Amino acid sequence: MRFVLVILLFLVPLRSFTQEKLSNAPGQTLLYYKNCNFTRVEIRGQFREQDKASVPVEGTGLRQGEFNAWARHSLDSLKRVEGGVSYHRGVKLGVKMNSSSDWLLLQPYVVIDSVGGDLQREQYSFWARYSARTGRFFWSVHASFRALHEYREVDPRPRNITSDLVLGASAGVVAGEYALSLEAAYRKYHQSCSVQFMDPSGSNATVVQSLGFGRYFTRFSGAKKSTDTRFQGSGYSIQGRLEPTSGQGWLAGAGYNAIYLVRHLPDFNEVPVSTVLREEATLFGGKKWAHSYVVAGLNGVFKRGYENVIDQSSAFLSLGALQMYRQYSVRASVVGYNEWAFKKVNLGLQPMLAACYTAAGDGISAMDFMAWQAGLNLEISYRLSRKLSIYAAPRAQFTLFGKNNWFIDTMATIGIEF
Amino acid sequence: MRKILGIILILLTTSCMKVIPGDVTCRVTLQAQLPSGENIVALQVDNSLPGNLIKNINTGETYPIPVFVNGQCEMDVLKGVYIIAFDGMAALSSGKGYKVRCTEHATILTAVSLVENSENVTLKLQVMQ
Repeated sequence: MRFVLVILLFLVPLRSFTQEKLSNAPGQTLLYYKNCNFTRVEIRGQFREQDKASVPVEGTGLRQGEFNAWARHSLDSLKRVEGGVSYHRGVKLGVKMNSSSDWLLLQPYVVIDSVGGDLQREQYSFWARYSARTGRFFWSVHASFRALHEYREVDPRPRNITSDLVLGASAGVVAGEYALSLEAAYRKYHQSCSVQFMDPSGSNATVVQSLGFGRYFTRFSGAKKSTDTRFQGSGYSIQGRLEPTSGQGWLAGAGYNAIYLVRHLPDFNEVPVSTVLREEATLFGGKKWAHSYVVAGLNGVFKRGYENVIDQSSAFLSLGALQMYRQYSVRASVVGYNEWAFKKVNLGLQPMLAACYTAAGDGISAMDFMAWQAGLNLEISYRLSRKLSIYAAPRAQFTLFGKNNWFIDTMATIGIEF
Repeated sequence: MRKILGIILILLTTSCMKVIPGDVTCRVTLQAQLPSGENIVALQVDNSLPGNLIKNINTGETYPIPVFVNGQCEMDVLKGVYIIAFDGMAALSSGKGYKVRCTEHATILTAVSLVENSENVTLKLQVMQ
């Protein structure tokens, strides 16, 4: 449990942070970057394999292929559109102690089957943003949608279908050489998780509604031919950013987001059995130069879990909720980037260092831990012509937790930009 | 500001969730009662027997049953809905001893709700021959 938590808490913010090249940061201030008309098409492979899983819920390995495409286009000098599509197809190997998707978001209130196994996954995602400027003021609207399908083809057979919608808007003002913006977004999340057994002799495993720290709802767990669970939630986020309009100078930002996720059991009169409230605050600041940047970030996550008390009737009415699970997590990171531009070749290097401290408890059990992470991204691009270039980007991330638990995540990308 | 936003979020998204206030535990006082109304000086339950327990019907947590003194005992349990079932030996003020059984709340349908900070539960015992 401890290692599962530390790794996943670590990886998700890191991935989003490092993949966002600040020079291409999406958002309102794109209006102030000169060269922002482009299309990128790329394929990417992710690979991780271990003899023994460091993170049982994420399995002993991951083999995944991705296709990503996105484009930014100026409608005129004051209006811009951008959008992207993404398709992921892969398999998580040897997943244990988890049958749900998006474990990091839902934990500790997930569904667990007692056998585990490989989990096939495919994900589709789309996003779009429209930005406009009027004098010193600018605004944008954006939307994104992610659909994730995870399943197993042998008993026990989880089949998870997730939809994740974000709608947002932002507005800002230019003051001198800087642009100040505020962005707000609404998020709607849904996941149906069904675990089935096709063997005519019945189930060969127990399906458990987890409460974390080894506790679970015994009343709603067992060895049935089929177990259905539904996670439903909504949330919001706000973020403020200060960025240089020229692309060079100091930058800073702060953000807050919260999401509320309720677990329902369709087999038991749709009773809501637990709720997770996840809050996250982010602060970052740094400086950007023409071909490089340094950014330091501080990220805090506060998670509360509520267990519902279900009455004795067959109507499964909720008598109220007990706040049991609490989790605090603080993560500090520093990311640097430098680009070397040659005649036809551009070379980008992005090192990263991070430390994470997490404490969690439910009034009965408690734990805390520290972890460290280092990563290196490399991007090489070659200009074939004035408007066409190809690029390749290998990446490696090393994670150490405890004294001798570690693993390396690798990723390779190749693509074209025009 | 963060607190206000948190409250707004909770109101918007969780109007159906009623958080039970106070601690997550309930101090429950169990009062044992014989059909004859005789006073019980002590009631001892053998907690090593699997059927003798106080069990949360949702999460399965079980608690050992303490010794009843003067017909009652106190214990802290996680708030919830509980099955209470046991066989025990009761010593009466008259000097007699009886083997007694408690089955009033022995099934899920007859389980007792313990969701306040303190609760009193009267257990009507059966005398075994």
